[in-house]
Amino acid sequence: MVRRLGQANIVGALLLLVIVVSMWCLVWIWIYPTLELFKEYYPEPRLRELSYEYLIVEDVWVKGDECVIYVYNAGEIEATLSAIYINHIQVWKGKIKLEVGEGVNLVLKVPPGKGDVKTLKVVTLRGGEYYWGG
Amino acid sequence: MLAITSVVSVILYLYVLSVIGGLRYSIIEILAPYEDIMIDDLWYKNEELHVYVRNLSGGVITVSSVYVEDDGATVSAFTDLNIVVSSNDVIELRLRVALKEGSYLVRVTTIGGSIAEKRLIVWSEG
Repeated sequence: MVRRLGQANIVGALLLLVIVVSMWCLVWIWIYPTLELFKEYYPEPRLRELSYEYLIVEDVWVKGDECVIYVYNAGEIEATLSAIYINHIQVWKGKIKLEVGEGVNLVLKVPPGKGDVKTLKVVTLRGGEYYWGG
Repeated sequence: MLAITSVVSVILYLYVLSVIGGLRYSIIEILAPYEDIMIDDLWYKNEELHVYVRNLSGGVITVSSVYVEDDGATVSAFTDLNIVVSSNDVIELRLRVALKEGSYLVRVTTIGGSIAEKRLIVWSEG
């Protein structure tokens, strides 16, 4: 006579093992593509915000070796000025937050050279580049 | 029981992943912070190239190399730079290089594999 004492417990444990492993696999199969999607869309918030950002370099006034500029936020989102370049040379670096509809005057030193401002570019923290054509 | 099932399922899952293959990102790549850089601007004078590199990502990045290309050919390469740039910061790289008049492509790479490029026009000094 075959003794079947405890057989149900063993079968139950094995069944539980199969169920839990299957469920873990399902969870992993769900997690991986989700993480992959997250990785793909991770930079999107910055790019999405960038599409709402728009600054205008309204006025550039050169006086001697100084240059006064007025930057206006004409976009739909607040922007933070991060750097300004005159003739490709960095003349200002910092953080100035501009709310929508807000403007700021900045006094900059024109880099030594021929004296005139050929190109002027404002760069924001999001990587937006806004030119003034002189 | 929980420990056994967890370990078994992880092993099984990794095995299945290796069998499936062809996945675009590894788990480590997915969990690693995203890197994003740009070249704000650049200029060249007196055999010195100035490159302004901006870190647009949330974490710290390390600039590893700068390449100067002329019509697809690398005319100058600066490797093993290992310059750390904080989040949302912009740094200036000063590189000694002799360039003739012309148009060049400047490429900056990071240890994490991010690349930023910008064109440099070198005018005659006269």
